[in-house]
Amino acid sequence: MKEKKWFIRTILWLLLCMAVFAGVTVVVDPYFHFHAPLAGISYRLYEERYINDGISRHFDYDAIITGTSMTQNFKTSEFNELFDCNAVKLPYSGAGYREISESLQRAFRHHDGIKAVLWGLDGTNLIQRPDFQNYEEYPSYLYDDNPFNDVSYVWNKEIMYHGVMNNLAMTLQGTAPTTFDEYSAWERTTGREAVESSYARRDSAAPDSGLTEEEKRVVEENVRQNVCPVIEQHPDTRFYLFFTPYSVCYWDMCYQNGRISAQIEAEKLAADLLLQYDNVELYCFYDDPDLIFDLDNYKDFLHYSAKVNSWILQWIQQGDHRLTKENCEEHTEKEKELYLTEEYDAFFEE
Amino acid sequence: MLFNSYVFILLFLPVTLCGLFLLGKTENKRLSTDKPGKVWLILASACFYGFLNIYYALFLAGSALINFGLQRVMEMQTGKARRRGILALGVTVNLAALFYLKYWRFSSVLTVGISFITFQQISYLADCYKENGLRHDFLDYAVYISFFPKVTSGPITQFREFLQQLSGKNIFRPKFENLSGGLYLFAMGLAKKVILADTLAKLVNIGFSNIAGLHTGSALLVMLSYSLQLYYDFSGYSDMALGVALMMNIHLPVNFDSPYKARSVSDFWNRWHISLTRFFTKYLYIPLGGSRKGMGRTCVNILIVFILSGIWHGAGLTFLVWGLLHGLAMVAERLTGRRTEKIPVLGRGLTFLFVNVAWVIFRADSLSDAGLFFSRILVPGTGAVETALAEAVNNLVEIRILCRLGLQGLSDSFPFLMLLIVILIMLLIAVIPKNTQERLKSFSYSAGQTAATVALLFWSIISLSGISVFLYSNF
Repeated sequence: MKEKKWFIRTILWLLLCMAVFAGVTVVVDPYFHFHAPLAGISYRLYEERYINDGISRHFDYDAIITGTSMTQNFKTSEFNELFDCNAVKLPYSGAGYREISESLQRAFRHHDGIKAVLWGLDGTNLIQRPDFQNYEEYPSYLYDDNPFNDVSYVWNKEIMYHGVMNNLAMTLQGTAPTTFDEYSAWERTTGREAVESSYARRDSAAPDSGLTEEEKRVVEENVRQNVCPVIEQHPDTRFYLFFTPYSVCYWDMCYQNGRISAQIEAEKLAADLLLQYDNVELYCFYDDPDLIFDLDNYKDFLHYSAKVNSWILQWIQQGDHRLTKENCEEHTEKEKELYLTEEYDAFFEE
Repeated sequence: MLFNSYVFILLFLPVTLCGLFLLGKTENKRLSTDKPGKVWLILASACFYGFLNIYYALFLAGSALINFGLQRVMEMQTGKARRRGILALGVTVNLAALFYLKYWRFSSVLTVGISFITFQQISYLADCYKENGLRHDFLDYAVYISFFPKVTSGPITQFREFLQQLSGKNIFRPKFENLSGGLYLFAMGLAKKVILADTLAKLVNIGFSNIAGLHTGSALLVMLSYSLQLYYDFSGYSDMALGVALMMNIHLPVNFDSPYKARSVSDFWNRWHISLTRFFTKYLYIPLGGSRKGMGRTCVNILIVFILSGIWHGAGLTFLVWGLLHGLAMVAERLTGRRTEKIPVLGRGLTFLFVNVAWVIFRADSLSDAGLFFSRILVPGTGAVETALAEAVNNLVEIRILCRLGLQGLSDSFPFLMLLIVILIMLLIAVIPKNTQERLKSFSYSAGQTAATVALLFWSIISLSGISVFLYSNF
């Protein structure tokens, strides 16, 4: 008898512990997988790939700001004021086009009335096969609609510690919840010294060449599969797209690799595909040397600081640097002239 | 399917046990047949194995049909020479399949568990050859070869021993004594794997992916971590296998007996992967003549066994060298009369050191990597690798909680402190307390054992998945 009692008692205790643990995780729900944030709990927004899906499905909003780390510093408060919206921010650090595309499609499926999307398109990921994904250990259990694999969420000590416990501690200490202005935002040292330490120059440069036929196909497939369908399927949503403006150091890297023309041609190919939609506004800031050549705007060869995000919002609201079917050709020529004739060696020897 | 997965613990195991006991309880007393239970076990095993890859299950089914067929043909022969011929054919076919799948095409189709299945097929044919009339039907054999607790990683079970357990009456009635003991074993094994081995794996992976950046301290710590990881991983798996089987009233052979308490390399092999040592002794060493044909021949036999053992462990020169080193150590002990065993402290220390060094070769991708690893032991200093090792430990949720509870200051002043404490605790667990089998023997159904079992199971289950930190090269 004692054997039977012991076994049953042990199983019941185990079940009790697991039920309490899962219950706490489901109620607090730090990644908003089951429900919207509870009033009275201070939520920390962090770990983009764990939390964005929950935000997109359960928050109250009518606009989305999305992209890579190039969009982390956008302030939704500024966006809301300029565009009269109520936006959420869904940045995915280092993401390829496919990841952002899938995230947007899920947001549209689970949320009605999305008026506007601000989407930063990274030039670095443009010449990239359409199924490019940066990460292997993705928390896919949060992104599918299979309730069984939620076990990885509800019985997870790291989520309990970093999510649940952290939120409860913030609540008890009276810390305010993370705002979308603060979510994923960062502040780093900018300027020439910081930027130049982030990449190495070579002594020699390869001869410049345009896109190969194969690369042209890759760019077109990437845009056609990952960007066009989202726009096409949601004609009532306004899409504000922009090519993320990297610093002159990025162009210097292209120069050293002989890829300036290729990069500009890839942008042009993408622009031609995107400008056929009436619900798209496409922006490109590479025609602004004051922005690109001033390294005080950058923390490394790619990342611009938060003030540039604010400028971008203002420019878009005013329609500055906008590409249209009419001016696209001219813009491309201007860009080529600017970056193909720049004396990079002299710029960096100063 | 892995033991350390939600699907196994929360779904597969409960369903399999309930189904088995339901069939075991409702069996007709007059017919007294365990056939429904056996069929259920075979189906469960097919799911377990096929869950990894459907082709694995097909491979196993094909292998089982061929071996069972060969055995039946062998049984019908009366002449010894013909029976021997069929045995030789069977062993050759099994080894050929192993070589083809594991060594020749090892990069494309690696069938998990094939090394274990092959040895158990050989055990089946050899036991049936030895004892003609080892009465069994296809169901018995199929339960033996596919039995899911041992199908992917052993323990290597000998057919004769397994068959004896299937021939009793009412074997699939629930026995709470076995259910309790089995659950306790499973909890210990799961904790060894998930909490100890997987934590150590983080350190080992950091070390072995940055061998050139190691220094004296980190190289020694990584070497020690790997020895402990391997032990907790494999013995944890074996504990779980034994525990799950025990819940179903089947006793699998014990596979580990505190190997790092061994006083000599010979002693080590009587404690480490015991079922493999038994297999090699029974089916290779003794048929080769064992120690009955003089010292010279004995030493040659030992070397043959260990070289083959090395090859069995993996494709590549590192495994061969590892096996050879162990063989040479065994021969040296044989020639000097196992002197180290007479001074326990010295014996344990030397054996542990030798085993640690050999594991580095076992783990390294190449002999030159292993050489580089050893050379880094002579380079004092600290650098990025040491920082990464310390951070890996300091970022563990358990350590963070301890820090929040008041150890933060200590951890900040001595960044390597937690790393050292964690590895020290893991080392002590391996060499001081009673092992799981010894604990099972003194099992007393106490409240303390309930608390320990629940704590280990619960802690392990909430450790099965974590948060992957997404590192972006620029950020």
